[in-house]
Amino acid sequence: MRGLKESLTIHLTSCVSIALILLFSVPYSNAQQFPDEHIVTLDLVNVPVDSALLLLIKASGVNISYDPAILPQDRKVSLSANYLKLGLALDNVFVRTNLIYKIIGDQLVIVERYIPPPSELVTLSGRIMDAKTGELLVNASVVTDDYKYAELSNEYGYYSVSVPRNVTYHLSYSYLGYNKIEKSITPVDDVHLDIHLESNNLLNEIVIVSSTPKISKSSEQFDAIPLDLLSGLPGLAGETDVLRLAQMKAGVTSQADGFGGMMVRGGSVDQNLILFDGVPIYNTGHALGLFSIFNSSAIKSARLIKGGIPARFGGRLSSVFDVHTKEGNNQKMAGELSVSPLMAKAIIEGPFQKGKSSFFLTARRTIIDPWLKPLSKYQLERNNEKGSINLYFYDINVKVNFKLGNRDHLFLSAYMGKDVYENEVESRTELGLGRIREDFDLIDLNWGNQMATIRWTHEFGSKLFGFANLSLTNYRYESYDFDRTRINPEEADKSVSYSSRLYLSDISDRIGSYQLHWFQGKHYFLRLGASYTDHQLSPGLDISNNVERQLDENDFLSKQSILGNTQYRRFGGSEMRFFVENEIRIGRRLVVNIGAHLSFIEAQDTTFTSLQPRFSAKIGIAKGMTLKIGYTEMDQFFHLLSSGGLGLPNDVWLPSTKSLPPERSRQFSGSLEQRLGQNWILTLRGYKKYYDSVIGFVSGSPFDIREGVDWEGQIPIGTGSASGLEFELQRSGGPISGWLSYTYGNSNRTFKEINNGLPFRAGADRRHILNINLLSQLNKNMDFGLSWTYATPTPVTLPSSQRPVVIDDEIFFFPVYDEVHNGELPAYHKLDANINIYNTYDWGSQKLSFGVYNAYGRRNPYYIDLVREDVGLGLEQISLIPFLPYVSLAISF
Amino acid sequence: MVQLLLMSFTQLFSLVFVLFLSVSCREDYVSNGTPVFDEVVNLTAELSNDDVVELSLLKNIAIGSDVSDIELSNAEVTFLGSQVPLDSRKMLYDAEKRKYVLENPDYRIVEGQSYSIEITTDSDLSQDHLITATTYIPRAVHVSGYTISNRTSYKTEQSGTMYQLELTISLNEPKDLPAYYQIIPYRKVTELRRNNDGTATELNFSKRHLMKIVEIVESRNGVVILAHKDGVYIDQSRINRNEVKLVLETSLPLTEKEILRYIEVDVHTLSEELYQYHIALDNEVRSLNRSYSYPIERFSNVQNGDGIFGGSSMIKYLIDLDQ
Repeated sequence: MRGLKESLTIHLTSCVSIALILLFSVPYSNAQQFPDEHIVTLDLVNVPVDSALLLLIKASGVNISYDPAILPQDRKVSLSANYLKLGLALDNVFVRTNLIYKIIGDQLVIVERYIPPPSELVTLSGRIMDAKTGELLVNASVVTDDYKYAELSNEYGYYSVSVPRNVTYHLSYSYLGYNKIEKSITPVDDVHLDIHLESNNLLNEIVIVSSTPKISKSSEQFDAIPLDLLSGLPGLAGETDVLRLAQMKAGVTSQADGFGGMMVRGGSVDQNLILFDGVPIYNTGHALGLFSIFNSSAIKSARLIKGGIPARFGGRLSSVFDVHTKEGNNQKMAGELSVSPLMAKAIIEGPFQKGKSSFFLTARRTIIDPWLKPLSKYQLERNNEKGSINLYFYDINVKVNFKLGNRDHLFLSAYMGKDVYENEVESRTELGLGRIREDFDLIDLNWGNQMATIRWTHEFGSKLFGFANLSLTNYRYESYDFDRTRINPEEADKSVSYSSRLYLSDISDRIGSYQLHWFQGKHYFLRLGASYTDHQLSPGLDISNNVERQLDENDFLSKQSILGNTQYRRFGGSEMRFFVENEIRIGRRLVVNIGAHLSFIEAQDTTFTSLQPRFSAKIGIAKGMTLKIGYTEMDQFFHLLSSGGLGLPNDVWLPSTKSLPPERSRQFSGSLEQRLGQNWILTLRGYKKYYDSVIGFVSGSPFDIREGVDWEGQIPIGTGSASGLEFELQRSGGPISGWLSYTYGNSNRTFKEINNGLPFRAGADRRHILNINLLSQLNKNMDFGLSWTYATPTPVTLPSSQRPVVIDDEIFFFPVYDEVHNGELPAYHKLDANINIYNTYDWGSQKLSFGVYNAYGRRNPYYIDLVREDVGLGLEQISLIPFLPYVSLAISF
Repeated sequence: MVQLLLMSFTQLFSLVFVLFLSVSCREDYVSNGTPVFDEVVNLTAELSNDDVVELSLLKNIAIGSDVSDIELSNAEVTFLGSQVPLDSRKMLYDAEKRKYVLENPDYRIVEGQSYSIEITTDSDLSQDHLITATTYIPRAVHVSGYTISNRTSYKTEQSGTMYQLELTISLNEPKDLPAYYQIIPYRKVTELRRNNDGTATELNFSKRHLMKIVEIVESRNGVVILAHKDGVYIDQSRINRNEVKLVLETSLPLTEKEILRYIEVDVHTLSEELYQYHIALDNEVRSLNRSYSYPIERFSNVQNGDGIFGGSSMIKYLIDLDQ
């Protein structure tokens, strides 16, 4: 009896289940059951999941069976489908749920996804590349359709994501400026899968339209510099610059027109770790900072990290500007030529072996010297003088890379650049009584960087990635001044005197480093690494020479002859750094990065040790809203001694010593990001920073660090702080892209020896900064770019009065300074605009730009100069870049 | 043809660009909160035991204002010595010298004594405060010995024969600490007069020529050359064994009569405030020619005013190069 009853119960239960299933399946019959063969067109707005399914069934005519109990009750679905495959429509309905569809017999059945235990996860790994050029894509996104598994590619385009074995996932690969790729995969074992993404910058439509903006998945508080907008926005003389673009982001500023370098969140120009393909660069400016050393055509990615700085970075206090150059097109030869009123540039790239190796070479040089020399010569002749002025800069980037098998990659990257300023003036004066005086003055300044690095990356299986680096970097500044005075040069009693002055500053690093990335699984990612740097520097060697004996028949004293007779004073020092970074994902909303950076710095028989904790976290608060917080401690072995705080190339890098310890900082930071609709992101950020052992300025004579000179005693050491709020509204993914940013910030310093020990505004203190950058696509072949900046005045130290000083019974006037940064320059504001016209041809494409820099001719001051007038001392404001129109042309093939 | 046109177009635009760029602006700075200041009295008095007592009295003024009216000629100036009974003398304005001087031009300050100054002017300047300053005249430090070495000479077309030598001067221990010196080397003009009997007579004259200091040897930063003062300035605490080593250079004039026989060295023992004042002033002088240097803090020991009231005691020391 019992057995029959049980059997009947089971049978009845089964029948009821089937009945229930059948009850909720629409009894439409259709010979075609497979989802991708059915197309649906419908609009759903906030409907419950079960209603959505019913409507899909009706629209497609396909039997879809499901148990209503497994459907999420509180979920609403919105879907706008226009001839969409049924399968994709179902994916959209079930996104972020545990449901998938399966084909069982001739039925489409909705079931819950089986999640195996972690031991049953497999790893998908590989590289994400540009389909046309083979360029590796940094921070490309890989995510499963249920958003449970996600990863970003690292700086070498490598990704690794763990997913359940034997479970079908739709993986989505995406990157800004590229079409998304979706792959359906049911992995049985670890899979190596390289992905090639197509750029959505179609040749038929040259105009770059940026993709829908994304809130970063990382806990780092960084700004990805929008390189897709870079070429469209206006630049000085048509030259766009990635560093100048970074200076338009919230929390970042510079001196007028980019002079002097970048200041981030109230920090000084030396506190930014500028990485060029992973190698630190000491001076990033051409033409005093008007342009950076980064040729925008060579840049693949650029990020500015201002807060929550991860443990892998160290050595500077305020920020990390991480720039990577392109590897070169490994599919076919390509190139670009461009010319503007200021510069000529050339790019050539291509494969050594298609798909396996490539090269990338860019070069640029200013072209104004043919005009500068004759114009200056003419100007001098009008003043009865002879001579000329010459000014130019150039740089060359080279990169080659080789794919050595499936798991190894070798990169070689090199950079060389130089700025040159030459000024020769000859004058003749009648002294009276038949005496003649001839003066010859030569000034020869040059400065520049050189960098080379070799990097080998290796994939140890599917979860472990490592790379080794060997690098060299060098910055050198030379200033040579030679004067010759002849009295009665054609007479027997002629006399000649000479004086010369050579000032040198040089810094070189040799670096070796290794890093490992372990993509452990869904919840954990580990980075660890070590580096060793050998520093050699000759800071501030000043050699003056007055010669009264006759020189050789050339009547000229070269700097080589002075150098040959002089002993350099060189400092050495070495740094060892170790770091560990743990990125932990807790649930879907929380990512935490906890790490530490440990440094050992040895200099002049002294060792400095510093353990710097780093913490950052990203919390998903609500749909489209993310909170990030961070705490960072940093140290800095090098100090930059700045002339007047103007960030000039003759600023001197000094090592830490027993009397001059490394500088330190602590930063608390946070940000709130909110997506507004499809195209907007609103970001609010705040920070508070504290500085210790920062150096102040040395007043007076050029800094001389020769043997026997007590240079350390001249440098004040003090403290500082900075705080601020940043607001940024960003739009992309449409015909108008760009951003508006506002920063409120303050920064101060305190030194016992300066300003009577009272705190004063730091040079980087800018209370309010407003930036607007827009790129608008007018039509298929034309866009319009606009940039406007407003910044409240820069602090400046002004004399309160002038005082008469009697020297040898003659009165001279000297300025009296009572307080540091007691005055302000006028506010800085400037408008730039341009129009770009694009055309394509069989052989390639062309971009013609018409623009204007400083459209309303604002005289933005660079500094205040103290001048000697007939009536004592006066103040004059120096502004440099006036209203400046330009035309530029770029041709790609 | 198109390429040529393009190149010409580019060159033309480069030219236009350079012309625009060359119009960089230099204009008067319009104050954006330039600090307000009150005019103050500026005193310069460098007393010496071998010179008359005199001082300049000027005033600090605003940047850009008229400098023709900076002299103060109607101040009440009282010069005070520290001897007992109190030595108090009025100083009067000498319009020809444009300085304040003592009635008795033979009055000399004495080493080892302190002196003060008291000044009152219009109430606008001194704001009803008395302007005062004090200095101590250190006791002169003497030369205990010297050595001459590394004598060389070379001929030049334009300057004739140039002589170089290394002079090491040893000084006695200072009687007052801290001690600061100014040492100025001169070539004493000496002529060799040939007599009828074939002998020669050396004639020394009071005239002397400043010698050039080519190099300071082993100084530890204790010995420096200032841009606005002759000789070297020395901080006694930072030199070795009270010795100063200098490489000097001089040229002989074109007449054949003159010989290089004697060097005369003026050794000034400076008051501390006078030393600090000139070191600070040297920094200012050097930085004034560089547009980009940071402002310098000046030195002043004048209460309720500005400037310097300092002194020195001096000795002359004759060095015979043939001994």
